[in-house]
Amino acid sequence: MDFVVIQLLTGLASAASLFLIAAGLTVIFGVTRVVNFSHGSLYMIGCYLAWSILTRLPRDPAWFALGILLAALATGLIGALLETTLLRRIYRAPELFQLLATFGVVLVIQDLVPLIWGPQDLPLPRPPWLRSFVTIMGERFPLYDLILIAIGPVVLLLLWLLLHRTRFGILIRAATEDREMAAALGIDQRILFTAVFALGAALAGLGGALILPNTSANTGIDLAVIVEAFVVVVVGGMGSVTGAFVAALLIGVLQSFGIALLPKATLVLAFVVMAIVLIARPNGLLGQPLAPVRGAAGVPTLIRPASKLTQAVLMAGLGLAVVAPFVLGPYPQAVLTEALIAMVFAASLHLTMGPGGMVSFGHAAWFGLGAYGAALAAKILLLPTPIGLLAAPLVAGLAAAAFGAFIVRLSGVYLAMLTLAFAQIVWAVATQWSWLTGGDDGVLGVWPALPFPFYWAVLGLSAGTVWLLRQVIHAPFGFALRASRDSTLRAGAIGLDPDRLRMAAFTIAGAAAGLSGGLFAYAKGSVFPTYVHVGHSVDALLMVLLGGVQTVSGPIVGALVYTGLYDILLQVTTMWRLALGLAIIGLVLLFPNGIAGAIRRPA
Amino acid sequence: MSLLTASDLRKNFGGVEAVAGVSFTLAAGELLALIGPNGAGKSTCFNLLNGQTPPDSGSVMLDGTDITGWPPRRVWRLGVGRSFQVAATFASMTVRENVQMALIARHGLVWRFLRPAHRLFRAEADALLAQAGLTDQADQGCGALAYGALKRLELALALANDPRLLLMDEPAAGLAPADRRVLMDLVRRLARERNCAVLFTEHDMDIVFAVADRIMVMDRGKLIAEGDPAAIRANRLVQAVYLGEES
Repeated sequence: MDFVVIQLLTGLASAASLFLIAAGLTVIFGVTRVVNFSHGSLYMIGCYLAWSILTRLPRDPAWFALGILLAALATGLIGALLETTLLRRIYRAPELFQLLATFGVVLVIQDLVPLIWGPQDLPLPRPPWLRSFVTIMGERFPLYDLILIAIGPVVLLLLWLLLHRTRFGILIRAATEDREMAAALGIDQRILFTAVFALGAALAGLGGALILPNTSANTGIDLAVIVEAFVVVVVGGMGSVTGAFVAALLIGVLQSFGIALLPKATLVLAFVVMAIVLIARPNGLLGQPLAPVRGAAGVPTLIRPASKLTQAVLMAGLGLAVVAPFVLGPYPQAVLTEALIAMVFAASLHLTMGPGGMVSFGHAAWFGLGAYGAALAAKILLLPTPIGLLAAPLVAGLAAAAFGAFIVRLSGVYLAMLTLAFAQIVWAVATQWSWLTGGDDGVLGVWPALPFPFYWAVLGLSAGTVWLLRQVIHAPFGFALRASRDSTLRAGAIGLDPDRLRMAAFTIAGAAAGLSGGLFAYAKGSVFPTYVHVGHSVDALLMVLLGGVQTVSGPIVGALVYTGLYDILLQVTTMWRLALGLAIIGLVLLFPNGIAGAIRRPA
Repeated sequence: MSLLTASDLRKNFGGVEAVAGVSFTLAAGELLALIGPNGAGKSTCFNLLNGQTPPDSGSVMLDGTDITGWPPRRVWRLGVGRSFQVAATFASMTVRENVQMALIARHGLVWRFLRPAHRLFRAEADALLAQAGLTDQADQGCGALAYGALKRLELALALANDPRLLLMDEPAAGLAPADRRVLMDLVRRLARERNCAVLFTEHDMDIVFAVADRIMVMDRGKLIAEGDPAAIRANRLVQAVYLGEES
């Protein structure tokens, strides 16, 4: 009994901080429809600001409370600044470009924070009252956790009052339900959006500040917390504050018991919960089907066969690539190998994102499955390299087909989140099943044995796969896939089966990504769980978005630019995240249709 | 023998009986208009017929086959073309590609992965576009098309299936009055040529009375009158409920 109560209380305490970050995220999404990847960064800033403020204030409870509020307020101001300088310019851009821009912000802040506060973790020296315990049923329980438990419902109540009892709240709810109608009724969207973003940022800052006494300010919390926050928001239903509260309770408490009972399951527990909830309730626990935002997606562009010039450039590039081993040294050749593999990875994601209209936050899952499939075939089954390279797309393709059958009915952000959930599960397996995968140490010594340089195998398979993917997009299947994306209603009325088409697209994309993973495994000679990490999925997203979703050559350009940028930045500066983030933000502001999209259609 | 037979169709939405026991038949080659005030249940009725929405009870028979609750894509395979109140087309394709897509689906060639689709059924697509009066717009992107042309494209898409039955929910909605008449005359001519039955809705009574062979009047989920245009024009109940004329 004691155990149950203590675990329950621990769960409630973590639920409170989950709720704070998720509440801000869900309010921002509800009104502006921006999926704000940088919300975790605001949380991190709140945490650091709280450290700077609290270490300068007297250490009694009243000053502590004031310091926390100041940190939240300051984070809110930073949020307002972010909204007015960046997001305001891209509300009309496709949803994915907003995502890309907010991810650019994540990268920038990841480098700015250590620049300001230094790279070391910053713990808060805790006065006695912060360290004290309360005895509950014979067990000592931290007083501060009890305070956190109380703060959750208090914030929910205040938010509820704000949303339901003030004019500002009515405007927020009106804009959440139908922002065009709200605009038509004369609500100034600019002020409303800025205010909402500031409110959301302040909530994130509050969450970050409150977590400080229990951990320390460090540079890793932004990505950790954003993934959890997305899970909570999606489980609760996007845009629903009460839903976020219920979901935070559910996940916080489940995780607290999970850690105690099934320590191995903790990495995936939240994602399993999310998968179950989304399959049963595709709009989350308390979410409404999202009203489409009219006109925001823009007019879908036509896909034309490549022009003669593009074809000539591609053929010339291919010719140069074939003779590259005779000209280039080992290092540029290694970079080129990576770029070729990245092209396949990006082109495979493009099939689902572009013609398929399904965004994936977890495309690295298929890459990783292919990499592990090839590596284990080589190391455990001792199969020759060609079979290993065959195993990679097979394993990933089969997994993608099974997963696709589950998720094709979902759409938009919910679908994207389930792909993320699946990738996290694969990642957890890669980390935790060390008897098979070697855990964090990875699988080593996966070297190719072919009668010719492996580079040519990479070139041949990459170019061939990208060509095949291109054929698929122009073939009847690709047309039908695009038709299902453009109008599900009309697709059904001319006899198409959108679910099956999407599932097939998922399978093809998964197999192609798996092949790229297999090639990467042999090229690097090793496989690590980082191949499946969120960061790697984001790499693929960035490549596709940089190149442009609406063109077939987009992912090729995107992969080259991204690999090139990354490599150059890594060599010339230690602040490569800052530079890359700024480059991404700049590109989004300059080319809202991607680079290849801009070349095709000079505005 | 009738082509389409609807028997006692019913559909509730949260306690509101949108369609409250509708039965009718439609013969091959016949043009049947379904009219009634806004909210009478006309669109729901269409959705029940082609499977967009499954009915709560009742049945739909097409040429002796019970198609009640079939998904739209199966209904389509039996030769039923559909147009929507708000035009639904593929915005990322050209006008010709839209029709090619429908033809590819009709000929069961969707699951081809290597050969380019834009070479398939070009001539057939152009013939359909010519019939719908869209030859000049064939290479235009569908996303940038004027609304009148979109409605014509809807017609071409519905015809791509060489249908026995066309279900047209306000095929001329959103067009200027003169264009509505032109489009409905086109529908009538094409249907006659192909001996294709048409069930359609339309708000402009002049057009309905000029085009339809037979008219059904719907109000609050029920059919309140049925007959040829002259009979409907003379029907007192229809005048009171629908035309709003003082009798």
